[in-house]
Amino acid sequence: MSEHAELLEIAELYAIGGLADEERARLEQHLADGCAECQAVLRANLDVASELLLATAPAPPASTVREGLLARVRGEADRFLVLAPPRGRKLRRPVQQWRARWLAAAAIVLVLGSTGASALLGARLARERERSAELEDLLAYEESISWALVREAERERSQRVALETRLRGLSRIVAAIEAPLARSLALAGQGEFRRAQAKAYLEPASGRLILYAYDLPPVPDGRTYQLWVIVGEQPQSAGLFRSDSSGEAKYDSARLQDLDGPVTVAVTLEPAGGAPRPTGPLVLAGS
Amino acid sequence: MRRVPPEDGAPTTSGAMATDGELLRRLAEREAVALEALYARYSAYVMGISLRMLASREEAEEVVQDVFWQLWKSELRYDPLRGRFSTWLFSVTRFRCLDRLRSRERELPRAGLHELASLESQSDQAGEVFLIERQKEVRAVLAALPDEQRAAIELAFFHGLSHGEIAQCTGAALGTVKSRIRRGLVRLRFALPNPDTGGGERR
Repeated sequence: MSEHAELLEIAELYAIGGLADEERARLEQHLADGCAECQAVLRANLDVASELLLATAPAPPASTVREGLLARVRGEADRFLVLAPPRGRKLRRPVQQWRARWLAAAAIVLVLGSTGASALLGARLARERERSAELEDLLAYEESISWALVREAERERSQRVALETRLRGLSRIVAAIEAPLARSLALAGQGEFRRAQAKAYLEPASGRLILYAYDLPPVPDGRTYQLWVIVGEQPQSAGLFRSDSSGEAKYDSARLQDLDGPVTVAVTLEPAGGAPRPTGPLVLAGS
Repeated sequence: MRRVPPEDGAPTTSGAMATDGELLRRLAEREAVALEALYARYSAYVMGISLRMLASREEAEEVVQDVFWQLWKSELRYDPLRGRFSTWLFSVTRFRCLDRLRSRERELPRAGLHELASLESQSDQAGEVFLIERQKEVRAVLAALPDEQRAAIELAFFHGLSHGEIAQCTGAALGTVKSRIRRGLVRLRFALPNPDTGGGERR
């Protein structure tokens, strides 16, 4: 019989079992070498063999088997519960715990008296203690991580709120600028403020005026910039603002009237608190 | 018959009507209910195989608990590509039993013949519809085998005997034992309809 024919026979028998170790090893090597024919035979017979298992009559196991299994499953769940520390509760201080455990251990050893038993018990306690220490470390570590995560989450949240507020402001501005009737106005620096420049966006439907100003010197103490909208002859105050340290200012004013006709926008330097009519030097103007 | 399971079950809480695949997914998510449902469905088969192979209730029940516990612990991993779940589970059970048989100090059984003859008379019990049908077919095919072929297959497959041991306890030559098994298998292969084309079982 050829080597292959012999192996094919072994392959046929494989699924049912009963092969000698040496035969099994030879077949496994042969299959590893990639013999497709033996593979196919083996697979077909494995399928048949697995069907044979169905020939046995089902027999319900005793109810204790099921109960035992479910108890093991629950026991595992309990262990998981023990691992998770109750929320917000401080861990007991390990030192106290060790003392209590060692006292208990010592008591048991004394009661037992027998040196063999105490040695065994001692070794077991040492193991338990080591394991408990590992768990304590793990818990402390987990707790520190979760605190760090909570702080991180708080920081993220306040950042998110700030960004959302800013975003809401920006989207109002964008909406105003993009409105069909919105127009823009360039404002030029006046007099000693000639280096300053600004752009104003006017959106008549909502009466909104948005001013972006650059190179605007910081206001001296006791003074403020005041924005005016002049429709016809009457200057209308549109609000007070300051520039930041880089000389930039952004001001968003709402509910102004008559922005759809010819308009002049101006900025003056006024006493703190503003003035009912422009009194101070003209800073920016455009129409 | 207890129930006719849906072909492709919607998730249920009890698990009794869920497909094997659904239950296995839930088992992977550590739902104890899914384990209970699989146990209700298959433990009697696992027990039947173990009892037949080990001939000891106590040991068979240990195997049942071990198999389902390992399923729960994901120590046993079923690959859907390799066939039906039930087939896989039963094979796993057989290997567990073979391990136990190998570790035993045992006497060779006198013969498996009359044991096999009793197969037919075993009463059908409540169980999975598909499995009950399949069981009838397999038993009929096995029963139709010549006694010596069936005995050789039985002793190797269920009792974990080596070909040499079978030769010893049946008084046949080693080559004869091998050819009986092979011839028996060829018959089985042709007589058993392919389960995946013949019957509808869920995955």
